[in-house]
Amino acid sequence: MGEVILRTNDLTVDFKVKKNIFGRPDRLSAVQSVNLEIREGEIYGLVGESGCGKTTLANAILGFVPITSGSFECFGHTIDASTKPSEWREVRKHMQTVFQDPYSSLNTRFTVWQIISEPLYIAGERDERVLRERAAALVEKVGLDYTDLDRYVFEFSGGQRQRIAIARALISDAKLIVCDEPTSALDVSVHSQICNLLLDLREEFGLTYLFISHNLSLIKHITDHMAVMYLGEVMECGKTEDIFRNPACPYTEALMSAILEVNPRSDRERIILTGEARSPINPPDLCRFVGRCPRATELCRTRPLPPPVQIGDDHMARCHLKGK
Amino acid sequence: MNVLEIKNLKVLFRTGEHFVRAVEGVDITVGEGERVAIVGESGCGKSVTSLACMRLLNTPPAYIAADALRFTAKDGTVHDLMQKPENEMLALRAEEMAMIFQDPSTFLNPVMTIGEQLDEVFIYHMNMKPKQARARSIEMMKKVGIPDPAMRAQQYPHELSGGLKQRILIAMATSCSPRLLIADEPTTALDVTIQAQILGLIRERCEKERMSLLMITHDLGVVREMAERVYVMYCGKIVETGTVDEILSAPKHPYTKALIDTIPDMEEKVDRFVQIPHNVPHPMHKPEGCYFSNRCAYCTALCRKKQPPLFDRGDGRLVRCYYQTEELWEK
Repeated sequence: MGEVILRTNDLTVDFKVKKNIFGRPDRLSAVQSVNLEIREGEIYGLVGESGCGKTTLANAILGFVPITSGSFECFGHTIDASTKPSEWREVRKHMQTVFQDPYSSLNTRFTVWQIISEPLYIAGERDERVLRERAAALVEKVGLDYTDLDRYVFEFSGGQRQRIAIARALISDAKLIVCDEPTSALDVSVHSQICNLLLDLREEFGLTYLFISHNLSLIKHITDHMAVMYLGEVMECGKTEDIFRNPACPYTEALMSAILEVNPRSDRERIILTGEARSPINPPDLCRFVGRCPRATELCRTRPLPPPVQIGDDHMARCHLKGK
Repeated sequence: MNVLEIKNLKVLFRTGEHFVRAVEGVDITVGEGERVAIVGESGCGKSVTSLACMRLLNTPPAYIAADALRFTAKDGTVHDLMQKPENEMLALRAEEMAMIFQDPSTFLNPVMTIGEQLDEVFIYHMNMKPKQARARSIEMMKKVGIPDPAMRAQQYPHELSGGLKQRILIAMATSCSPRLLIADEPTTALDVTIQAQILGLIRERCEKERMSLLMITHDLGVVREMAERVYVMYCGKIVETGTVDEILSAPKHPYTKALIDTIPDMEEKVDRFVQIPHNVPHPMHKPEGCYFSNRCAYCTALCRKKQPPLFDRGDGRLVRCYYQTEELWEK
């Protein structure tokens, strides 16, 4: 595993929501003090349920939403709330993203080569012949045909559209690719095609992925390290293997027991959580999972969440029950 | 005795000058108190089949034909769903057969409170007075595990989370204790931990009210969790049917086998995923022979030329494949 290419330091993103135009705005805590390290060449998984802040965290790293406090270091630059756009642009060169829904992330009025080469166009390359050639060099790598270059998006199925989106992410030689649920809008029978393609491209181009998904079995097989998020906070992070073998946080355990297996080996004990995630608006200073946690104690309900505890080599969790 | 019996159901859609064959001759039966699943990818015709049973498709653009589409009511009368006038269907839909949908937020009226929408069922189908109806609504909400039902009854759909909305739909669908519940991807829009809750709730309601369940899903894990018998559909046809145990542990059709293989084993880490090549064929351009032939690893010249019939293996399993043996997999 290579050196760390992205490190977040207490990265926090808040949104202000106003009940009415006069009142003081409420604080919606989307991402709270996240510390992650992504190493070169690895696939880093980010799991959690909808609304847990995994997409917001990725968007903050990509610069789509402003950072409230904290910072992150990436490709030799440190980015925080006060970073100037010119420095942002330097960092952004190295990052690209593949969105969840290829039906809405591709411009229907562009031909395939225009879509794929758009990042280069934005970077200043205006020669159409060069743009087309660069796009042509990539289409076959993502499993499309050379003749597809002049077609429009509506002629393609979901899986093929996602391939176009992946080619667009690769064209500017970005090193870090943020994949935000890249398979969840696709048919089951093409999931594996897209995952295998991502794995092949990582080998070939030496890419690093930040892989967001709510599909735990996918995360288990594809990622090297992972982080489990709940209501904006990272509950547990570390080597994927270790977390699956020995989940430290009760939320991770519950998530894993909710995986529906096709041919379960044994009758596992299933933890079915009661209730739903609480609102992220003005959260109290406690563990955010406390209301649904089957093992919550008096300590969890009264004391602020402790800092991350080392569970094993490269395996951290934030939980009162583990802190001793 | 069968609650629902579908024989040779065909559904066509008219798009401009062409007809798209969405469902091509499907036979499905659901027994009393039985839990049956239809599994398939988007566009395979599983939802259209269920909507045709409920007569919820607009005709035109849809054209429905069937040798039989029969539903046996609680009192034993057999209804021919193809011939029923719309006003009789309306009564049948809530009291005898009910449906829950994938995205609960699109099936609730945003300008009516939750309570008002639940009350309607009791007012229209059980001729209750509004006050009585509200009491029953709150009772139903308790049954589906909604905390603080009296307060929730006064709220509007946008104030509820997806999981709660799905619970409301389940309450609505089961409030007249129908004989058959059709659930069309009820948990696809929900989070995994909520999915576990909702599946448990549907099962519990079915057992308590002795309802039959027709579950429509693309997720084989949900099939394992919910159903006793399963129909696998591909491109508008049933490719394999049998009990869940048999099908998931020993599939006989290459498509079922491929679907199961693409799900990686949870115990061991894999480096690459098993993949099915190519894409689902466009409904206007289905292959000439077997519809799966262009993606099948075991395809022969015969498969490409002639559509295989559903072979009856005699043990209650039907398979639409010429070969249907495990020897094939080993080659």
